[in-house]
Amino acid sequence: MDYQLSRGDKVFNWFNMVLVGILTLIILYPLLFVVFASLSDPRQIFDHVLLLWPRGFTLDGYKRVFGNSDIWMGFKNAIIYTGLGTAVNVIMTTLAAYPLSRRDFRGRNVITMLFTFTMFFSGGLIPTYLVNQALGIVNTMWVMIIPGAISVYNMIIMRTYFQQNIPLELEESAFIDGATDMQLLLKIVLPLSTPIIAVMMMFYGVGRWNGYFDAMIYLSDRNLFPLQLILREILVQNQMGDSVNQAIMTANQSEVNSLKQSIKYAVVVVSSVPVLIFYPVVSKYFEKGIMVGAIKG
Amino acid sequence: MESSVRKKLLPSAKGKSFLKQRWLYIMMLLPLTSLIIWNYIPMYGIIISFKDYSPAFGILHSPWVGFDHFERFFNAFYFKDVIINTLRISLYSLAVGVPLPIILALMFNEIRNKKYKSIVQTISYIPNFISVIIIVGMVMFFTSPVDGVINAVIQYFGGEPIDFIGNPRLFPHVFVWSGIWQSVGWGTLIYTAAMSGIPQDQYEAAYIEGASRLKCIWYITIPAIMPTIVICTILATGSVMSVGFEKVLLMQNDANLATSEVLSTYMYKAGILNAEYSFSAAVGFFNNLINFIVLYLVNKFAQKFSETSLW
Amino acid sequence: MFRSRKGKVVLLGTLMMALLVTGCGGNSGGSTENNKSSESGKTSSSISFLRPSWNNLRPASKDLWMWQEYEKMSGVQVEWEELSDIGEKKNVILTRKQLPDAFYQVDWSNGELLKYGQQGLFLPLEDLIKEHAPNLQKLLDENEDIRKGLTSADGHIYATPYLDPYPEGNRTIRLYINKKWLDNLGMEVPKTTAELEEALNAFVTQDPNGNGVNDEQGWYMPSGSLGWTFEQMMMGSFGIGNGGRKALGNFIYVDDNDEIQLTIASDGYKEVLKYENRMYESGAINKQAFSGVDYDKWTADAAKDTVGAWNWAAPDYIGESVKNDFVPINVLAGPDGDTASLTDSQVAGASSLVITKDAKDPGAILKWVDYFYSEEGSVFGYLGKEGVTYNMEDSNMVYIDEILNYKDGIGLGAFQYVDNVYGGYFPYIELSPEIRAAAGRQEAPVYTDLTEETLPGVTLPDLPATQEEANESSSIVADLGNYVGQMRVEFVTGTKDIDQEWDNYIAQLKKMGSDKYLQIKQEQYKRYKES
Repeated sequence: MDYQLSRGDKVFNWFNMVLVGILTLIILYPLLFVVFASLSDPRQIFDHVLLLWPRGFTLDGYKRVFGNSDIWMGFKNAIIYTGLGTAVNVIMTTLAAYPLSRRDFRGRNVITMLFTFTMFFSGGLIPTYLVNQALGIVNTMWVMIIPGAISVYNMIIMRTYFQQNIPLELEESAFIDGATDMQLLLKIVLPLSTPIIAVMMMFYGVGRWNGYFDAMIYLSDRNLFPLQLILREILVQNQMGDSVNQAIMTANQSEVNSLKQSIKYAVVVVSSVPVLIFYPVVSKYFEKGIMVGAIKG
Repeated sequence: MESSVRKKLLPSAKGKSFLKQRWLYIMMLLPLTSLIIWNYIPMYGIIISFKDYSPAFGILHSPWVGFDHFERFFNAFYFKDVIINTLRISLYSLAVGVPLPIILALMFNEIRNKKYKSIVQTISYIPNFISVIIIVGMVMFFTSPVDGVINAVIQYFGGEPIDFIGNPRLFPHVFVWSGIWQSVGWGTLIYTAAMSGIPQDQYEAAYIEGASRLKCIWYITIPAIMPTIVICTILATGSVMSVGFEKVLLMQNDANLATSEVLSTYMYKAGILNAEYSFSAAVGFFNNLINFIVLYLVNKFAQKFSETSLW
Repeated sequence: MFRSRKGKVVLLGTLMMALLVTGCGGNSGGSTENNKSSESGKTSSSISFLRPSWNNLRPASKDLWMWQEYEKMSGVQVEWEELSDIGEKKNVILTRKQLPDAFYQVDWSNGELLKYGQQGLFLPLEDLIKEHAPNLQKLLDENEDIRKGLTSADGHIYATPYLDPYPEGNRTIRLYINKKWLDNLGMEVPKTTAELEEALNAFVTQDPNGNGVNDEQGWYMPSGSLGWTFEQMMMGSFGIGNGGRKALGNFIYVDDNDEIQLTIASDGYKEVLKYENRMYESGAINKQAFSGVDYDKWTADAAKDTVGAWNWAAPDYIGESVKNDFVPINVLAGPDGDTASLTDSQVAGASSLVITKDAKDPGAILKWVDYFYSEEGSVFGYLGKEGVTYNMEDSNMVYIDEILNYKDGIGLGAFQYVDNVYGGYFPYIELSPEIRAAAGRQEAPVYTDLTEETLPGVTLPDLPATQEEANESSSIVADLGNYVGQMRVEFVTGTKDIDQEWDNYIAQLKKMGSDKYLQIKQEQYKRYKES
């Protein structure tokens, strides 16, 4: 924007920038804490109220994380599940969100209700497991990709975006040109909706990347484990539960404990760095959306 | 604005026959199939709340017990406390968790320096990726009355150190604000996307008319993202009985138990630890029923008073 | 609503498609399952076990030296299925059409064993043990406690145990006190609760670590530990500790008339709380005993020589760098001279091996596992084989150098070869602490204060409960646990006065059903004694 700013606006600008800067610093410090802690001797992390640089610098945590032979396989699997899964998610969500965004779509309210209902009521783990078992996808990569294709929450967000941002005039004129609804979606609606598609990719992508529960329940073949499940194994030791006592005494516990301590923060860094690359890539589409939006006006 | 235009056009749309809309139905086919297979076929599992489920008999053949599990839950000694604690935390979360991402998104949106904007946005959403265990560990360290950074600041300004995590009155604050810290940046994404759909010419026109930045926000940006705000708010109210289980459990201790025992943790202790799956399912069912009713009512309200609603 | 018929057609079409997809998938699902079961059933002498996964710490079971060796020795091939987070998956696993032959090292509560046993998922084993497991049978015959501890309320045995005959091992939680500090202050190792109080008070006031800073803590552990470590040990000193760790964990003890009583409603408990309250106020118990300190923080503090005393079964829990500063105390005499150590039943795990209804040859499984209830089997499980994983040194069995020099410690080094060194709950009988220590060229600690005299008079297992009792008591226990936990904080930190509030506290316990609970436990104990 190159037009001249008024004085009030300038003040506003500075005030806003500074405030956002302060908030960002507050958010940033704990993040730095994790990074520094991952490079520190676990016994020195708490030495001072502020951890402003690695104390007792060590790469042990990272060496151990990457020394784990399953890590790379986990990365590979996670990338596959996240990539394919997110593609399925975004396609399916778009397919549901677009018709439901059309106020002239018959059965719109009923179908929305059907979807919304499932946000609250489900048959639980066992019947779902049985369905997946019947489909023959338990302990295959497909169980990580196909089920859970639509998050109703995301679908409703996307629907709202369509309703809000696709001018009806465009649709009407497309119909007059003889376009079908499918052509309309592909040629007009989607190009105008890159921002929401980007958001959906992020929501689903991060959800897929971070998810471990389905993998934990449905996968038993280690070669199929996604990264998060392997990291979880490292981080959350299988503690033998004892219904009476809160912990059991077992031999060699301290060796395992110290192993865990040294690796804890490195695990977080390793698992979240790939997701961080996501945003800069995806954020471009926010800008594109603006441009397209400007053209259409 | 646009939706009102749309409404005017609706009558012409009404006449459309099914055949004309066939593509819309074809689009819905896959999503509906998925919904039926993974949501509605397993739905029969709801009945385990009314049964004494045992894996030996399976869901269908386990004996019925009617409302026994519900009665046990309603008669539980801590029933009232648990409900109150749950509502306290979740309403508090809603009260700050819904508006803050909107405000932050507006602030982000007003930043003109693209690089700065990209950096602060990226930083703001990273906490979302940190696992709960680590978050809770950090919260405990930062709030420690002995060597935590927050108390160091308080003491620097002459205050007395505060035991945040061991005080039942402070627990909701610690829980909610650490949650905000973790999710507020991520929460702005939806609004950022919604804002990026606003045509720039509106701002330009406003500027030519001499409107200030605040006025532009108030009269252009906010109305434009209002439907998104309404929808997100409605959806958020639908989780009024749900409080993140893992984090509460990790932050819980005997000292703050008076306010930190919520539905999910209670259910875990009373049911899952003893493999009483039906009891847990019944508590979960009750929980979601309330959620659903709240969402339904809020949506009704939205239908009446705003242009946007879920259905 | 779908007003047009076409709408219905669409819905119908979708439904049919759904069924179609389900149908196709169903077929392929069936075939893969068949493949699997035929694969696992290829030899007649193969059995399938499901167990927790330790794959992040050591090779998978099928690749572990010990199991490959035992396959040769026994001629039985085991198909191991290893899963992490079994606790969360139990429910789903049990719905499988084909269960594994047995669950190995999986934790089932008494209630679950009885329920699934009675419903036919788990097999009763007592007759099969008689026939196929002579070593285990011998243990059952010779040791009443083991038999009683394993027998369910319906008289059946549904699992083989993890046994630890040695109270001087991990079964006992002891107090570790900083000997270096005691020496610096010229104090003796405390023998009574009063002396402990004196010592800890001296710790926090007289700068025993000599750094000139008042950074010493008295009793200090991760928050939340106090209630089930220190406090339960003190119950022994205040006359309400008879019954062992599992009993105290269930809020019960055995009184002088051999009757079950509630610890949390007893006068002795009132005294324990007062004792703790005094120490808390003076700083002898760490101010953050109830909130704010996790294990990482604690070990970091300990490494800076700031911990005076703490509880655990072995000293290494506090970290390698300072563990040698501490000496163990098993019992402290209370004001009335009472002593009872905080020792667990020798049936340390009561569900180590559970055989399911789908086992093809349950007898073979028992025969397979029985080896580990012999001395030879114990040595094999912990040390492996002479010349392979251990060598003889002065009549001691000592691990090979690869194990002794393993980068993460001897225990994890051994875990790369043998199974029964980490995790507990294996179907197995533990070796003596001397042998285990010698395996790592160490010496087992000698406890002069852990004798027949100071052990609890009886050490109860989890008392067998009927289905009905389990249902009734589970929510009472959960409520009592919550309430007692909260009140402990208030009493110990002094926000509520113990004398003033005690009657209210007792009344509240009764409101929650403590009487009912006590009655159930008394009933169970009676049955237990008669069994």
